[in-house]
Order: sequence, then C-alpha cells, then structure tokens
Amino acid sequence: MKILKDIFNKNEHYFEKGGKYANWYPMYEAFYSFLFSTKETTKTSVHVRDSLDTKRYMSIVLIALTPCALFGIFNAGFQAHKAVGESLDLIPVLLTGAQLVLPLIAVSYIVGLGVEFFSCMVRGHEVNEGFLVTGLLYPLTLPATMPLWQAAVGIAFGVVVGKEVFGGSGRNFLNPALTARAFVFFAYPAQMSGEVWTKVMGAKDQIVEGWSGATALAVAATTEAPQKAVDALQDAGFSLMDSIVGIVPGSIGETSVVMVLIGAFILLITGVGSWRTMLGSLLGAVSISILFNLFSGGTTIAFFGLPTVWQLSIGSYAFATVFMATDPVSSPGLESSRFIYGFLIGVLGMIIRVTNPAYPEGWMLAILLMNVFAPLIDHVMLERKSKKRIPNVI
Amino acid sequence: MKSIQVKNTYDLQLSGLPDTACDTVDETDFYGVSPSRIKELKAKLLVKEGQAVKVGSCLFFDKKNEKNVFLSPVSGTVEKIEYGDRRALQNIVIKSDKQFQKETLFDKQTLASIDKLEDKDVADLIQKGGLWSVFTAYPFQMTPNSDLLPPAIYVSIDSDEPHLPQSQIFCEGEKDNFLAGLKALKKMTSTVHVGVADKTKLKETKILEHVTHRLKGHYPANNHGVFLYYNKKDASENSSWGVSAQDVIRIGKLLTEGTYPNEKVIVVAGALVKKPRHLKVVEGYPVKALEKELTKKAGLRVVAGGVLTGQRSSIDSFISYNEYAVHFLQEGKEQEMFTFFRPGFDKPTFGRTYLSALVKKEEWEMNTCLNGGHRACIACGECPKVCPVESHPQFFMKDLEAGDIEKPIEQGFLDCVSCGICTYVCPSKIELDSIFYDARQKIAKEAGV
Ligand code: SF4
Repeated sequence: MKILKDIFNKNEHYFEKGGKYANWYPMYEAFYSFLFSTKETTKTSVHVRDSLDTKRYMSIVLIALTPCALFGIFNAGFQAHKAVGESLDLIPVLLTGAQLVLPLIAVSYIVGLGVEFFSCMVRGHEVNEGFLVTGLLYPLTLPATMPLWQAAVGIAFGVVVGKEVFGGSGRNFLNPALTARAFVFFAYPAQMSGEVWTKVMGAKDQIVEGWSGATALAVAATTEAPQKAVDALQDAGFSLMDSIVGIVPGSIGETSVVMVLIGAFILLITGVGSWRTMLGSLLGAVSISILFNLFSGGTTIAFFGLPTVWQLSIGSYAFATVFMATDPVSSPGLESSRFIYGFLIGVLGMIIRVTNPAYPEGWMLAILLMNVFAPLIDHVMLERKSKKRIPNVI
Repeated sequence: MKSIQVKNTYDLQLSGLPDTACDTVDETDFYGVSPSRIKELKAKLLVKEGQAVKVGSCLFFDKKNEKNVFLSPVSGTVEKIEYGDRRALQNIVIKSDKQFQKETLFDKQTLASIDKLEDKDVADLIQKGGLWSVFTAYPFQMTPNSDLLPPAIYVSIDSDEPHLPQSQIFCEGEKDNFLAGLKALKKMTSTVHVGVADKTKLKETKILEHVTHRLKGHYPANNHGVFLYYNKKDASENSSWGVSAQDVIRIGKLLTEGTYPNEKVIVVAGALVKKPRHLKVVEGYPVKALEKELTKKAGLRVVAGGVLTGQRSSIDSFISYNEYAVHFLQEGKEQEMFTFFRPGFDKPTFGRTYLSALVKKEEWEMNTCLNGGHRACIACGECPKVCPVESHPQFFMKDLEAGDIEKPIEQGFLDCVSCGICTYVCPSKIELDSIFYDARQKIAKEAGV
C-alpha cells in the first residue's frame, strides 16, 4: 500500500497549481482521496477538525442502500424466473438478477461519473462524493428491463440538469437522481410504465399462465368500484406480506419495505438522514390516505378506499421517503423546515398517486416539486426565527 | 445569581488537559513579543535595535487607535526587530538584563482612589498601562475605540476552550487585584456582569461574591460574547465589551502598582506535551524554552491560545500579548486506506457516523489533519446544531458568498462570537470562521468602526 501511496505522492506535483496536468487535479484528488485519507492540514484556526467528512457521510447512505440493492438483484431475478416458470432457487435467481441489475448500476456510475469528472475539470473544483449516492439511487428506481442506453441518457441528463447547470453539488436544488428518473419517465414512457417491470426471458408463449406483470399499484389504481381495491389486489395475487417483503414486480430497489426500513434505521441511527423529513412524510401520507378512506364511499375510484397499510407498502413510497426526500442538498436547510417539507411530500405524493391516473406513482413529482419550494420554506422559517431575535444590526 | 443555560454547546474532550500544578519557569536571555498575531493591527514602532527598555516602555502602538499602546514586558535592550511578509512587524526580540526594572506609569491607586476617578480617567490609566487591548468590543470583536465607553462589560471568569488556564489557579492570591480591577470596570460602565462556569473550581469567596451569572454548558458557554447574547435585553447592549478574569486581575494590578503587570498564568498543553500544566511566566517568554517539555521536536503545530480560536505560532515565537496558552499538536497524521469505510472506534466526532460514538472515552488525541477534503456545503445541518448563539452558519456562508451581507445581518450574523465550533464540525471542511471574520471586518469598515 505504501507503494501506491508513494506513487500518488510522487506524481502530485503534476496536478498541483501550475503543474503540467493541473486541470486534471479533480480527477487526481478524487482517486487519491478515495483510496487514502487526506494529508491536508488546517492552515490556521480552527486547528483541529472533526473526523467526519463528506465521504464518510455519503458512504453511510451507500451502506444504507445496500440491502435494497441486494434485494433488488434477488427480486429482479425472482420475478423474471417466475414469469416464465424457471427455477426459483436462490442461486439461479441471483445470477439472473445480477445480469439484469449490475449493468444498469455500472452504466449509471460510469456515465454519471464521466459527466461529473468533466464538469469538475472545467470548473476546477473537487469531485463531490454526492455522486456516489446518486449513482446508486438512480438505477434502483428503474425497471430491470430498462435499456442501458436510455439509462445512460437519463443519468447524464440528471447530473447535468439536476446539478451541474446550477453550479455543481451543493448548489443544486433538485435531487439529481430524481431528475434523471423524471427525465427517463417523460422521455421514454413506453419503457417506464405498463408491463415493463419484469424481464421476460424468451418468447411470449413461455409466459406462465395467469402471470400479468402488473404492479400492485397499477392493479389498485385501475380497480373499479364497487369492487374493493384490496380484493382486486388479492385477486391479482398480491398479499400484503409480499408487498412488505418486496417479492412483487416494481422498480429494482423500491419493492421491499423491510429493506428500506433497514436503510432507514442506519440513516437515523447515524443521524445522516433527517428523522423530521421521514416522520413528516409518514404523517402526511397517512393523514391523506385516511382522509381518502373516509371519502371513498361516494366515489367510483376504488383506490380511495385502499387501507393505509397497503398504501404505505406498495409502490415506491417507502424508498422515496427514506432515500430521496432526505437528500440534504435538495431539502430545506433548516431542521424545522424539514418536517414541513416531509409532510408536504407525504400529502402531495399521496394525492398525486391516488387521484391522478396519468402518473402511476406520485413521489417523484411530489419530491421534485418540494425541492423547488424548499428554499421558500427555509425563507419563511428564517424570517420567523429572525423576528424572535434581539436585533443586532447597524 | 441568575443561571444561563447555553444551548448547542459541545465538549471536545481534547487530550493534553493541563493539570492544576502551576510551576514557575527558568529565566532566559531573550524575550519577545509578536505584533503580527494582533489582528488588524497597524503598528507604529517606537523602538530601535539596541535601544534600552524597561518593563513598561512603549514598544509600539496601533496607528488606528493611538492610545492602544503595547509595552515591554522585560527590561534590557532591543536585540532584533523582525519583519515578515510585506514588511509586517513580526517580532520584537528583547535581551533581558534579568532585572525586570519597572517604569512607573502613574501613581499607585487604591480601591478608594479608583472610586473617586471619572470613567474617562480610568480608561486613560488602562490605556497608559498598555492593557487596552484586553477588551473585546462587540459586535465586531475588536479592541474598542479609545474614546467610547460601553453600555455594559461582561467578565467571564472561566474558559471552556481546550485548553486555557483554570480560574482557581490564576485567581490564587489575586483577590485584591481582582476587586480593584472590577472596581475600575464598574467606573467605566453602568453594568458589569460577571459570569462563572456552572462547574467552576474557583473557591475564592471574595471573588464569587461578585458573580452575577452561572453559565451552564460546554464550549463555548463561557465565552463573554455568548454570555452577552443570552443576557442582553435589548439592542442597546449589542456594543458591550467582554474581558476575561485574568485580565481583570491584571488591570487591578496595573492600577494598584502603577507599573506594567508583566506576569501571567498560562497553560502549556496539547498531545505532545509531556506534562501539560499551568505555568507562571513573564509575558514574552520564548516558546523555544518550552521545547524540553515536548515528547518530540519535529512535525509540530504550535498554537498560541486555544486550539479552536488560537493563532498559528511557531517554536521561534513568544508568548505575546493576550495569549494565555501554548499548544503543541501533532502536525497532520499518517494516511490510512479507505478511511471512510472503517468502523472508526478511534475517531473523535460530533455526530454518530463513526462507531466512536459508542465508546465512552475521556479524551481524544487530536492533530491538525483536516480529516477530509474541501467540498461544497451539503446542507448536512451539523453547524447549526453546535452554534451557541442559535444562528445558521450555512445560510450566512451561502448568502455571503453570493455577496449578500444584509440578509445575514438581519438573521443575527453579528451575534456570532467567532467560537469556531461550526468550522470544527463541518464535514465539507468549509472555513466558516475565516469567511465570517472577513465579512465582519467588511461590515465594520462600512459602518466606519
Ligand atoms: S456543517 Fe458544513 S456542510 Fe454541513 S451545513 Fe454547515 S456548512 Fe454545510
């Protein structure tokens, strides 16, 4: 290891200011600091610093995402095998899943990092670790059947428009992973909705009889009164348990509530994810869903009457709340605003999900919308706080 | 006695805590002062190399405030005048004649005679005595203008920054001087607030009698600016002054003896010091003479003052004006691989992202490693969690970077006491304290202060 470190140190002068490859510095710094802790020291006061850096911070999110990613690999394989009646043993399922999912993750990282490196070199600032998270979040929101090139276009768009045009990480107000997701959703609707969630291996006639490939969400949303949404779901073969565990069709990483909860636990115990955002979103979603339940009697939309536990377990609600809404950069900066922000996400997302047939899922739009309003919430809260202070102006 | 609970404080648990021994040091030949560490000073030098000086001879003053004079702590001859970058006056080295002959600055005062003085006269004596710069005038945290008197003075007896002298040590046997100093302060303003740490070790009842507030919390609960923030009732108090208890004692000594009080209690601390402890030194004592206290001689960071707010010093420097601590820290640290995927039982941190959060450790050995690269703000929200004056460093920083100074001021930017704890916790290693310092200077300039 010392050899490697020496190589880096020996070549550092090429990349420093005035060096031959000075504009490659961000690249050099990114790799060097990925491998080794910094040797940089404080210049003046404050002479000692906390051990936490953005790398550690972001790697906690990565660790929290890992259960979802692993389960996503399993489930992608499982659904594919189930569709055509192949073996449901663990190893073949995992192998198929890996073949489906890993290329998507790889493309997301390679293309995204490429864009990131490029813009950092143009701007001359260090590569931000936030991309480590974006690069994994984004593929987990895609269907396993997503063509790689479309995934690539999506992440490139997400990084450029969601982040770089605003001046890079820390200045962006949209969540880049969601921006990418939104882009592919609108640009490639055929690949992002309908029966796309499961890879059908082989010809259509190999499909097992009775298999539909529809998500629970789609079933619930299209149920017509007087049939109850719960009954429709059960008829279509969905059980609440399956939805919570996550062995249902859906986006790669979003199906399992259990895995998301493990992630949430990691984020909360380390303090990396805001509990106020999560709690707010939960309360928002629950209250709207209860409200819908109350009014479900008179409407023809059976989805209104779907019990809250179901609402929270299907679709991407849990994943979006825990991993997307809590992205600190695109959230409001004040802890007190974060509760309101989360709450509004819960409310809006649930309204969009239930009432708008054009969008099969509401969280993406709700979060992006609230990203836009985040600075406003902060502004209002800061005004209120300033009023409470004894003025200290000149 | 009122009690003040300071919010958002943090205990750094830095190793190298000085113990309560207070030793004297061997005399040395060369003493010195370092004007370069006095912030915003425009020095006008009054001595030449080879000139004879006494304790209390004027060495230089501040051109912006001519009554803010700086006196020689020793008697002897000026050996060397050293200049640094851009010909800034760096050090004035004085060869001591070991006599410590004192120049009489004015007639000795007593408690009764101080009581008869006018407010301006007291200020005048303190200025003549070279102690004007012990005051910090808020909100700009500068040495006050010489012809202004404050609405209130905040005296803070204890200090919780790692590590500064403990009150029970420097107050030992100094109660009369403290009382004389306090009397002088009371002449200069209508209200003097005296704060003491909740867990103070000070036993001297004659001093404790005068305490008005108990300050609860870790660093920086005992900062006089924090004290001011929690105690002020309206905006008129914003321009109050702060002063530390050891300086009150020195003011008392100056007034009752009529000569420059050149002795002070400092701490020598930090992980590289064999026996961190209190020392009684003459101001201007060379740092080099403390080298024998160290466990190693290379790769060190010398800090004059506490490790958060102190300034960078060097082994060839001196214990200069208004400096009450010398720290010796390890400069940088060994690089390790994949540090961000390690459990991190050994990493001190404010939050819970390393498993060190589970270890109950008494103290952490810290070094000057940045522990990360400079990044853009990720809005992690750590800085407001430690801000003792309940403000939001990240918003100030963003507004200031965008060139907006009004908004931060409205949101309480001028309440910031420069404690540096936000800079300490920031995972993006943003130099918040420097950004704020520059902004404060700019606002002061625009306000004509
Ligand atoms: S601690 Fe640093 S990164 Fe976190 S909010 Fe404050 S300025 Fe931003």
